[in-house]
Amino acid sequence: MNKPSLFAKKTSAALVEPPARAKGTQDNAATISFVALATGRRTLRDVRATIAPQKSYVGRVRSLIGMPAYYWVLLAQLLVILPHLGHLPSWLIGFALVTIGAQLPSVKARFKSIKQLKSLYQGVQMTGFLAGIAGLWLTYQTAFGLDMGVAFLVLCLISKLWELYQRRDAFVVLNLSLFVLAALFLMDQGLGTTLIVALGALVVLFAFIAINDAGNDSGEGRLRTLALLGAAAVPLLIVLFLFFPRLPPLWSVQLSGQRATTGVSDSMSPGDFASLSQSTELAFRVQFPAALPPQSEMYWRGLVFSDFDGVTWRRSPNTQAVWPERTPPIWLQQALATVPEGQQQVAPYRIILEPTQQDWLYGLDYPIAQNTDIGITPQFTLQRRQPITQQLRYEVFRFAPMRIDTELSLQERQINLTLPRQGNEQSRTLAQQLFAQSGNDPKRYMAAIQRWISQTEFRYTLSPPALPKDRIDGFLFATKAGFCEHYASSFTFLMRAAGIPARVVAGYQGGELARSGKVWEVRQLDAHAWSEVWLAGQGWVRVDPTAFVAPERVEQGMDALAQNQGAALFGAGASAQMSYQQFRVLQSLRRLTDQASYYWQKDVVGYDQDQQAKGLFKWLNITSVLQQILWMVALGVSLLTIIGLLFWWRRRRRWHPVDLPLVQLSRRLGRRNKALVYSDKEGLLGWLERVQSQLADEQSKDALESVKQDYRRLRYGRLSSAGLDDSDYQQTLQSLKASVKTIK
Amino acid sequence: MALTRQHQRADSPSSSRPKNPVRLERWFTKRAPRADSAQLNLRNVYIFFSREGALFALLLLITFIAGINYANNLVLGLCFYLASVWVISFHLTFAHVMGLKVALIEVTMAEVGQPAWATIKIISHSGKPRRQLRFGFDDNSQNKLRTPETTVRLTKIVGEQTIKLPITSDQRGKFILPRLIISTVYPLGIMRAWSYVYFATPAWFYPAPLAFDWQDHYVSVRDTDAAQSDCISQINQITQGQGDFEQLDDYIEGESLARVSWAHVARGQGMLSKHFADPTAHELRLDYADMPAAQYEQKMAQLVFALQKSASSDHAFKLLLPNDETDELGQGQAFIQASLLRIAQAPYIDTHIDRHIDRHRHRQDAGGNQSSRYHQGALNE
Repeated sequence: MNKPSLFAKKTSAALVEPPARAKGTQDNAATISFVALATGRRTLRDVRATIAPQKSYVGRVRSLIGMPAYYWVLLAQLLVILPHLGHLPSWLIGFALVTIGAQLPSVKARFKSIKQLKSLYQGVQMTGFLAGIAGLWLTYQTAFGLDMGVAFLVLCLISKLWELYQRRDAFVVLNLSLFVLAALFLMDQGLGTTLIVALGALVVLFAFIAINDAGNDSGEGRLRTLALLGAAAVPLLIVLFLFFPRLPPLWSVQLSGQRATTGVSDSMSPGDFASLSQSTELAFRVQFPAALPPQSEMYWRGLVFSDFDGVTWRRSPNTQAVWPERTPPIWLQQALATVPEGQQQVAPYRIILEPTQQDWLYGLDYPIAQNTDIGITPQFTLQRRQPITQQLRYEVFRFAPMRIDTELSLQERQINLTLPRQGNEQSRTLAQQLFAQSGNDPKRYMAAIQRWISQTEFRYTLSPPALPKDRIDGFLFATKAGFCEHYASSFTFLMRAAGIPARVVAGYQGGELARSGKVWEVRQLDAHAWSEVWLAGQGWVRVDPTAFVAPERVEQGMDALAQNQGAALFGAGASAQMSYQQFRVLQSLRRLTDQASYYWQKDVVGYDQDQQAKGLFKWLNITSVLQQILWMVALGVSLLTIIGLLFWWRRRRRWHPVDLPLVQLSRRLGRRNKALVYSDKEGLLGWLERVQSQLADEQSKDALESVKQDYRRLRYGRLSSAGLDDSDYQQTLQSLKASVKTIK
Repeated sequence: MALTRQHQRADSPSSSRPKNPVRLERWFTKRAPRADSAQLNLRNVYIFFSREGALFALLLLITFIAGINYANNLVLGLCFYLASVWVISFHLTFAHVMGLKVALIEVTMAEVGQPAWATIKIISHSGKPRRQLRFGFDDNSQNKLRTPETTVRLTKIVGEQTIKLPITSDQRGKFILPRLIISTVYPLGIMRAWSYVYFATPAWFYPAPLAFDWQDHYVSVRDTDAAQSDCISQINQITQGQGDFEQLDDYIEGESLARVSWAHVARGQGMLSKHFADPTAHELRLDYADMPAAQYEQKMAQLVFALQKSASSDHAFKLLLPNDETDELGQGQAFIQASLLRIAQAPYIDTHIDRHIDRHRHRQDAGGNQSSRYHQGALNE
């Protein structure tokens, strides 16, 4: 009896169907996963190996789009961190670049094991973070402030990059980088910055898509998805931006920080303004409610310098501002009382000041601000509590005929008469001489100085020669060349030397009408300094000694002066010629971009509750916040509905061109009899047969027969492989359509 | 009393997952009837934040506060834009799942501990491709749903595609498929759209084979007289064949005349017919009652072992189960599968009854009392 060999080792294998995995386009071996790249197990070389080399431009772009998500994440970091170049300390930018470089798979691949890689990178992460915090503290000297905050945020992002191994790490990194992008707006809100941020945001969104599109090596459909998302979000953005109520700050934030200051600085020593004058950068814009004041009257008062040490002019310590909530002090009441009857009611004008990082503001002589958070010093300098780190709008009254300090206190008088004990002896002698010649009359004395300056070989230049130790003497008797600062400084010195109280005022003079014709623009090149002399009975009187030598500077403005004098203004030689050319080109470019920039600043950056109320809401008759929100919700929901419908329409079922007439027929028949509607389960041919059996009409039955024949030929016969442009195919299709039409 | 496995499953699907209230599960179930094919529609596709989405929401919140606090319109603008993108991604993510058709083609049978494979057809009629859809059975007991072994991710779906998904069970018997989760986080990973499909066709699991030394004690060559032996028996199978001559028997009317042994007729020994048989064919009787184990389930497992042994031989066999009238002889893969299915489908019985059965070596002619017990078990199915 032969025993059957029943004990085979393999038991279940014969019975269990082989565990075949799903076919199709799921993760195949060729796909390089995020983790493989992030741990350096695969590199760019492996990625290239999977893609056929592309010669055409389009092909190369395509393969770039199909790059693994890991590379897109790194690229996004580059685009997010580099725009911060302007304000971050350079060592942090350097660290960021090193960090991004170190995350490249080819660098990570150099390590022997993943464990080694991870422990080293973690070490770098920890030390980098701690050293970074120490470095930030040393750089900014403060634990708070906006700069510090943004720099810290960037440091966090950089540190997180050192542990980029998993998909969820990438999510953290991308979310952080979106936040870093937003922080860029805290530093600058220009049009250019906006474009950079928009680009950065799109790249980050693309990286998001790439992370969730693993296995799609061709990158096909990624751009389309980004375009759909990005474009469909724009209408919603507009609705939200226009209607979202601008809430008051939740808590007050400190915006201070150390930054390079542009504009008028808080002290003046001749030479400071030379660089300013060449900058065509915008200082502020002004909207006048009525006619413009004459150009020669446009003295934008800034700081008042009363202390002089022989080199530098500084503010006197007595510059405590008074704030609107207090009762006006006596000096302010007295000044206001001098305004003639009938001129007390003046319309305010609005100033849109670019960030200065300083706490004083500008206004036409003599300014009184309307805003509650703006105070005024006894020198009539408008003052704010915090530095202006963001664009600021404020409204100012101008009291031109006002007389200030008609009574000068002894202390004030002393402050404005003080000169260094020694130095500039030549000038002192000249002052005493001229004052005596004028019969000790301040007005005649001033006229005498003007005469002396205009008759001597003084000239106006932006690049004066260096001055010796006694600066006033050096300017008045040796170089005789300089700009507003030199003139104002020397004039004030001469006044004080003769015993007449005098001080220097720094600010801007003039400006020009913007191309739109509606707005007055004042640029850094309009920075100016002038003198104020105290005359008994008149109070402080403005004297602009620069006008003695270059009246057109005051009459027409700095720009006109540059036009007239040409390169000579910038000094002599080729470098002057170049800086002049630069000045011209920059000037015209500036004007073009400023136009766009102005509207951007005014209508977008400066869009606030006020503008909401005045503009769109007035038109839509929105009066309350509730209405505002209702409008927003209604518009948002309807937009979303439209977008949803559009998406649905894009993704609707597409029928084969041969099936389409039959589906239409099904719809037509269905209107009459629901039972005749085609259902997916039966197949179109089956459905045709069913309809044939259910229709009573003989003619329709015949037509259905020919439809069936045509359909078979088109879908299953020889023609099924023919192209759409095949004439036989078209003919058969036409015949099918014609037969379908006859079915009742 | 007798408890069937699917009872535990159907009545307390959330018992192993307390975080999901039963009510929510019921709500999901109500929106998708159990069927072997389903079209995902507005009623049964759901969308919510993914885990990564929570991070994004936090980013939006912080950006918003920064925008408000610094009164910075552009920061607010970026926040609004990202919020808009997020809302749009609702639509987009949802659209990749909505309208998909899913049909269960077949479920294989498997032994406990081995995966059964469900073949599922995915049909997309959409004009645009669906991307990054993940398919997987929601099996809490396995707790490895997210491992790539039990889920399948399709990068792109256009038209029809077929996938196979594993199902494992740790108990014999009928296994109602856990709900199939179809989900995607495409394009941004912030939102997750998903749908549940409850398939009607169950999977059947037969016990994992339990080896025993059956050759020595339980397998015997069975001659015709030993037909009543209680052992699992190997008998010389007398299948009618054309092979070797086996024996002569009395001629029965209707038999082919070609079989009549005319030599005997001529000798006057009467009408005898010649019977032939395939010589290697032996019959195996795999009898529940003969299994050496004491416990019901163990005996079932031993039967599977025996079945699988017989699969490697070409012997015909018959499987005798308690409370099973089938007494069919057969061989080949299909028959083995059918027999395994019978074991899988056998009622699940508590161990104390098990012992009871053991005492009464039952047969097909088992007493009515016992039969009724089995029926009770079966009723619970």
